[in-house]
Amino acid sequence: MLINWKLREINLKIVYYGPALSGKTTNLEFIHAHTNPKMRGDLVSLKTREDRTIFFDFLQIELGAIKGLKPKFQLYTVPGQTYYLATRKVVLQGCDGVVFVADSQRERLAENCATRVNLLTNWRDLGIDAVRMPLIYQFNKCDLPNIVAPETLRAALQVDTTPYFIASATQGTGVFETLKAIINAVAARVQTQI
Amino acid sequence: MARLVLSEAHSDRVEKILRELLGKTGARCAILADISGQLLAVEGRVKGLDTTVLAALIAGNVAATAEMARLLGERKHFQILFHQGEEHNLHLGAIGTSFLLAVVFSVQTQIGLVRLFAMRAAEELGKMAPEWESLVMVPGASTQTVPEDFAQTLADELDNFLKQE
Ligand SMILES: Nc1nc2c(ncn2[C@@H]2O[C@H](COP(=O)(O)OP(=O)(O)OP(=O)(O)O)[C@@H](O)[C@H]2O)c(=O)[nH]1
Ligand SMILES: [Mg+2]
Repeated sequence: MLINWKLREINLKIVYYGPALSGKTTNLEFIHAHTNPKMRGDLVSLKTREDRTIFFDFLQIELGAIKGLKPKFQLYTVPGQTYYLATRKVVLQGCDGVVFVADSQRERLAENCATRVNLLTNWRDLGIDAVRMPLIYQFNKCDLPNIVAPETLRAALQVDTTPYFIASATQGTGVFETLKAIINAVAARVQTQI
Repeated sequence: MARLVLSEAHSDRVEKILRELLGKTGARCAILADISGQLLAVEGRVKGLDTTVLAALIAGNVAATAEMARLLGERKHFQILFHQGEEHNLHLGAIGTSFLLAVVFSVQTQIGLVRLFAMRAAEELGKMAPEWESLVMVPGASTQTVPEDFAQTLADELDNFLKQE
């Protein structure tokens, strides 16, 4: 979080986290394609030739002034491939909120759980208090046939009180709902911080 | 949560340091960012340059090389990174462990000059940095505060601001 009083801006960093191929980049692509160009910057993707995220994707969303203070949200994705594990922690640095993009497909259940544990480990290493960090879950790829019930994912990921959204990032369902939820969660934290 | 608060006075001082750096070196622009990729200040000729994205990439760049330094058994991060282009060079310097100073300059500009004055600017900025980091911790230290109903107002207006098109 950065507040710049000269520019009257508040910068907040949101990270899309999750296992390989769960649809993190697709979320940002959909947001980029479906927001007013005046409110967003370019989508920058550091990816391999096979379109896999190697470092991060970056997209800034800029809302109009709220009470004279203009909020800017910097959206990042991490690479899901375990090969690039080290860079996940780098991207998490200074984050103000996280969207966990889970893959609803049955065979990805264990991978979702492992990535959640990895997120908690990285938070701990960075000295981030997991209890207070805004976190929203997204159960993605709900359009596919071989998926587990949201209840199963909830139980596996130990999502108790944390809000979750069922989504299909390729079709766009649930993408904006997820984004709005994390924005609100992060903004609510700003208040308690100062 | 990493918390940084730049007062107007802070911004003025930072911008003055960056302007001096540009004046002494003839560099094109200077950017102060933090390691999480947030842009704190920018001075110089930046028309057509997406400094927000540049700050994010610079931070990623420095963070990646910090990891390289660790793998090599270095005790500290690499203090300076240098990228050489056909028209522009990019000089990146660490300010402590949390901030970065990037200087973009033409290949005609003397590298030694940029290196020297970037180091001096980084020292000055490094001395100021604790103030931005601690402001929120000290009650009453910040004269400006986020409006009380900021989050609620944002929540109320989010559907208007963020429409799916
Ligand atoms: N059917 C379906 N496919 C999806 C959905 N979301 C993403 N995909 C596809 O899944 C593949 C991976 O999507 P990405 O967005 O690149 O996944 P990622 O999480 O960024 O992957 P990494 O960067 O490697 O971690 C692509 O082929 C997407 O088109 C979805 O909701 N439904
Ligand atoms: Mg990706």
